[in-house]
Amino acid sequence: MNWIVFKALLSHWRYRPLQLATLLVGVALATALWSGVQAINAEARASYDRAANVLEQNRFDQLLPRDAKGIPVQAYARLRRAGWNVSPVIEGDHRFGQLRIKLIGIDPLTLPEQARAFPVSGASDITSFIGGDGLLVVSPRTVERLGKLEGMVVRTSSDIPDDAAFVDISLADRLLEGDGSLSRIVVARDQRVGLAPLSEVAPELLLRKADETPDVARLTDSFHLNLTAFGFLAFVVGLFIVYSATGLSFEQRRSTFRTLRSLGVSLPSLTLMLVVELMLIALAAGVIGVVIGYFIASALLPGVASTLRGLYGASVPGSLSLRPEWWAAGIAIAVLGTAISSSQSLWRVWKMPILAAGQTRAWARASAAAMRLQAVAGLVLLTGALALVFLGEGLASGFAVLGGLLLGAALLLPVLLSAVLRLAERISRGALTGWFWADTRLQLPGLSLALMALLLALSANIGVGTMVSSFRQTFLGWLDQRLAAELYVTARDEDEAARLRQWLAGRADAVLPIWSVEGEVLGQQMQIFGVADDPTYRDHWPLITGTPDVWDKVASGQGALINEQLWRGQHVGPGDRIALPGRWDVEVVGIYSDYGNPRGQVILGLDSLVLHYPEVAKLRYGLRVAPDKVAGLKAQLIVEFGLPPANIVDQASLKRQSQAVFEQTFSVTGALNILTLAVAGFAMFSSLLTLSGIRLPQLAPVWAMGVRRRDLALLEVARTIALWLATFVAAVPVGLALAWVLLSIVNVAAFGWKLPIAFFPLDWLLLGGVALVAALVSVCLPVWRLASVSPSDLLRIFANER
Amino acid sequence: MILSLRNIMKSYSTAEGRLEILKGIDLDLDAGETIALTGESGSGKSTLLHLAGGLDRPDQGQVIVGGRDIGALDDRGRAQYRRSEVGLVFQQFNLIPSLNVAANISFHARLADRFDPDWEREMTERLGLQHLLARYPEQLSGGQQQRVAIGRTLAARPRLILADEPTGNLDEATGDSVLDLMLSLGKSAGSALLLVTHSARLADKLDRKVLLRGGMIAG
Amino acid sequence: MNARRTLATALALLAWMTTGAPGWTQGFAGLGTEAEGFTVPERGKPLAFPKDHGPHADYRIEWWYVTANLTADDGRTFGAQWTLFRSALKPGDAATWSDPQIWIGHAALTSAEHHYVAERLARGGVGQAGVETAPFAAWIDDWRMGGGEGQSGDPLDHVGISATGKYFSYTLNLDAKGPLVLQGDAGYSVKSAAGQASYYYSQPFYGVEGEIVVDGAPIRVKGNAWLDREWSSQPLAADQTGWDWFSLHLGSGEKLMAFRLRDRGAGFTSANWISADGKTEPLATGEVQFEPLRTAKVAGREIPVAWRIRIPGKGLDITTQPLNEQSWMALSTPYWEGPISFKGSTSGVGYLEMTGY
Repeated sequence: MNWIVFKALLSHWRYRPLQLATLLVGVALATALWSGVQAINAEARASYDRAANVLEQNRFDQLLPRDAKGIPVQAYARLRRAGWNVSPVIEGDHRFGQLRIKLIGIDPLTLPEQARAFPVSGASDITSFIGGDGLLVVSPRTVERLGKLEGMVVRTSSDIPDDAAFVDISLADRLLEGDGSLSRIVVARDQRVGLAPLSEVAPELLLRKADETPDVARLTDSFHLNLTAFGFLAFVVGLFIVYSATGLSFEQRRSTFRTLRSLGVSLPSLTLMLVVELMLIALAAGVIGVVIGYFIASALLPGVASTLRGLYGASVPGSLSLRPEWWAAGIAIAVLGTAISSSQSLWRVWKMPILAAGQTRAWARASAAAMRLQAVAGLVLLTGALALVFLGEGLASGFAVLGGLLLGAALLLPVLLSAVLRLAERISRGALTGWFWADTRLQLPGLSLALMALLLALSANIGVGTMVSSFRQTFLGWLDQRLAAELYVTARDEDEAARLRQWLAGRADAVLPIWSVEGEVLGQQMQIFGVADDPTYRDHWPLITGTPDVWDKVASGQGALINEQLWRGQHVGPGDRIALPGRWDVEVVGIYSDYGNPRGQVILGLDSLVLHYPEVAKLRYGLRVAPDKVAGLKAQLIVEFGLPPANIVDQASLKRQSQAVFEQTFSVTGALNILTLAVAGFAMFSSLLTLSGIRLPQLAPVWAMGVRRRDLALLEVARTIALWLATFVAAVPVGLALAWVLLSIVNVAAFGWKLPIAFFPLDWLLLGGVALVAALVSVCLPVWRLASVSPSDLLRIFANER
Repeated sequence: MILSLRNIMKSYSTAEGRLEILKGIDLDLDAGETIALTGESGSGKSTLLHLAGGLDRPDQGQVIVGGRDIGALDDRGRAQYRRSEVGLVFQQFNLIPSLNVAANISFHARLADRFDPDWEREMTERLGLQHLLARYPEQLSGGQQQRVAIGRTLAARPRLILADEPTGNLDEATGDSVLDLMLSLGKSAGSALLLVTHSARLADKLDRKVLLRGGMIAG
Repeated sequence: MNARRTLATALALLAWMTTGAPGWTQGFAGLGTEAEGFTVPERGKPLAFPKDHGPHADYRIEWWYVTANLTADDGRTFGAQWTLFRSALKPGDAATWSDPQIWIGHAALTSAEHHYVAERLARGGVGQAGVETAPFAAWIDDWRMGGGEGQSGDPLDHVGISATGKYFSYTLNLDAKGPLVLQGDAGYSVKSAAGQASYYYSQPFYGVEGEIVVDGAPIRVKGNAWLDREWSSQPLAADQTGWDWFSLHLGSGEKLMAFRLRDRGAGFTSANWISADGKTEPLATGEVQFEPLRTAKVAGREIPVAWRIRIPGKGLDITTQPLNEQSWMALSTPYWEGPISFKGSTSGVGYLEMTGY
């Protein structure tokens, strides 16, 4: 490695700053989107881990009660006195004003060190934690929302998830009005040898083994896979940019390489210098990329957080913490990506004879054989995807179908375009039009990567957009059915609930209890609801399928409804019997759709619910009233009955909230869509720019024969539009196929519900318009360069060697 | 008289300041006449050819073709002039890489609206290109490429052919045969020829020789 | 002696709170010399058994403290410690989790080579730890000190103790060969010149036999044990920094309890000469003289491990040697406690506890 030679090599970039910028931006964009998405995933996963770690102590074995009453304190004492190293937990939701907080009551004296979620600092802290009036340890965000609490001390710890509070077990017991019974018992890893078995000490308890993967992490896997897919898509598109930029820079320096080698620079040393040069660029771009990625992630994370809350009820903080491993991973991926996308060019230098011909090869000219190979690969991928639709099952298969579809379509695109252009060339009459098509075909190899990127971005947009819009349409219709009651009220306690029922008699047309218990059904924790026998349900409830007398059976206690998720996930359908908590079973008589709920759900007749679960909280009610009386009743409830306004929700605002949650849920998808499109636009731009650099020899003869530079420039624009249009036309069916896969395969596997597809051509037009603008913007600079090239530059082509 | 150059001056701005290439050139070319423009490197012969072809404009003086001053035309006018009245043959990069030989040959004639299949066929045969018609430029040798370029120019039957070292990249024997073909076909088409060359041997084949030196006609 | 345990207990809690911070001074300052609503010991209030074997929830601090000097058949000597502390955040009892009582267990097993320790923490009110009187039972988790059903005599006359640590366990049967001994003035034990005091009684006459398990190997042992019972609420004077406390089984069958509370001045010493039949003879402060002979580096501190103790009025002049000079209680509150032997005007074995170093 020789510094003077290295400087000579680097000087290229001084004369081609735009090329350098393209290369840097390409690597940086690829790195940014990739590491941004990774950052989001890492943050979310860390937060699940933290939540699981903190809230469920899932890293530890747990002892659970067999029924809803909890674990008597005597059982805990028995375990301890038998030498079991265990620690009690009392937990539950508690309302502080408007804010619902999950209280986790722990005993700091016995809690295993590794399970301690927050640093215990200071003697006075612990004295007040155990023995004071009350000490809450919560996240900084929860502190802000809690405000001042009378008679309680609030401490913050960033390790604690939002909307949760660590308190001493005595405080939890007091606030939750318990009798000392435990919600669960944490089993420390460190146990003494020769312990009496659980079946002897506390046979009434269930042991749940520690689980390294939190439930919510498994639940949200599909979403993160989704994000990763987007990130990867963007990364690949970014690599296209790098590929074309390095290819060009090497091509243009061929004569420099030749000169250097004639001057005695050895091939290994030249190659090494080029590798070093590329790595320096990759490092610089990697750093830029990680920084951009951080900002992208920061910007997207609130959206991701609400998505996760909306879809899965998972709590993820809206802010990002900077992790050193991202820097490493981001820069590594930048270097790796640069290496991959420049390996071909480096290989050519390595193989280049010392006196290679000076004539510029048609850059990235694909041979007919390569084209055929691409066509075959594309067809194989599409066929494989199609086969998986019929044969595959599960989420991984769904994503494989997606991948095969997108990649296959992208590979076939240049082949199809080439065929179309050949046809156009054949049928065109004029000399210029014939040349136009022929020349477009010549550009195709250089543009095909960018066009493939554009196809991927466009069809992803159409596919995801169609999926979201279809979902929205279905969801809104479903909301109308599901939220049939005009008012929803929640009593603060059982006494108030009893008074409320009495008070409402005669004031509301119908009072529909919304009571539920939590329990384990088919191995999953889920809610079991009871519904009254009321026309509201018979007329409105969104049943997918059911026996003819479904509501009679539910009302009489002979049947239960289950939601779609449970139906699809557990393969239990109408006619099957399911076991319910409390050792009884019931026949499934109907399936209802239940969007936005990650878990299974069961609905019983109200009488049946109360019979089997007498301890059910009877606090929530839906009220049917004539629409014009809603406001009046609400006011009466507040003023006359004395219910806090926060405990009364009307249908309209509930729908509004649900819609807002829905929109939030897909805002990230939208943002990623736009980013991917932007990267594809940049790929187009850099490809066109690259091509414009080697186009002069192709255009100069046409100009010399009497076609003005302006006309040539206009033809360039027309060419770009033609290619864009063709790509867009191809993207629509691919996008729709993608939407179908998302709705019918991926959604079922990921969420447990299937949705009908709906078409929104106006959205496509809008997208097409945006993409057209992007294409025009990308062609602007190259065309402007062409239109303003001086005649002497064109003439130089013909004379001496360039 | 097909081409009259009157007191042509042309300079370029370079890093070292203005460089005067042509310092007042007067030259006439009759219909069907062939002139060899010779001179050392940098004597301005290519520049003079470009000005005559309407590829560039003189700083001063007139390029009169068919009674019009080409130098005074706008971009569109000069493009039209190149399209319909001039045929250009350069040292390299004459051909359109995306078109095959047949399309390249007929390209200019079609642009000039003078496409004549019979004439083109005859010319193709005389140039010995008939079995190369389906090939693409990159699949041709240098001599073949130049023959296609000449064929393209002649197919359009321009009144004036401007050639800048058309055989510069070819070996002597190939160059001679290409030039001979050009001269004989040019005669058949009735085109005048202005040929830039530094080779005295080639220049001898033409009707007249003009020597440029230091931007002036030296003889 | 009262003060040392008081401090140990309080500091155990405080140091746990500060998770191992070097909390001696801080802990000492934070201990509080005020009673803060707790009942304060009064001179002249007679102790009543078996009731007073049980916990006194209105007092801040209390313990059941057993030390045993053990000998195996092959002559090897060991020491065992079993301690249950009670420390109240507030006076009194309350139901289940609201109970303000905190229980702390310390257990140790000492050989010439090793000193193993273990600690347990529990809160009161839920049955994880506690003390009952008839039959006597004191426990924290699976550590236990207790008698059988239907025993005659004092419930503490026949008790077993057991504890388990990571590398040791023991099960010992304690048999009282003499009466309970009231320390100080009929159980009212003064701890400083300023008048801090505690209720304090002992059972120094236990004969012991049982089994210890060290590193998995069971060993039959027998020997002597000593129980201290003490409870108080405001035990320390502000300037007291630590103590050196001895319980000695003299060759004559007599017992000696002697301690020195260190302060900026000469310190506060106290001792009780217990005859073989249990008669007590409290010695006035100054009658017993302590002299450190040798220090050793223990857990990074200089600790006096060999002592000379003189009581001229009793003709006592002995020097003590530790069984294991590294008898460091590396727990949330660290201190030195281990078996010793002594020679001189008389010989025997005993236990030494040192805090505040």
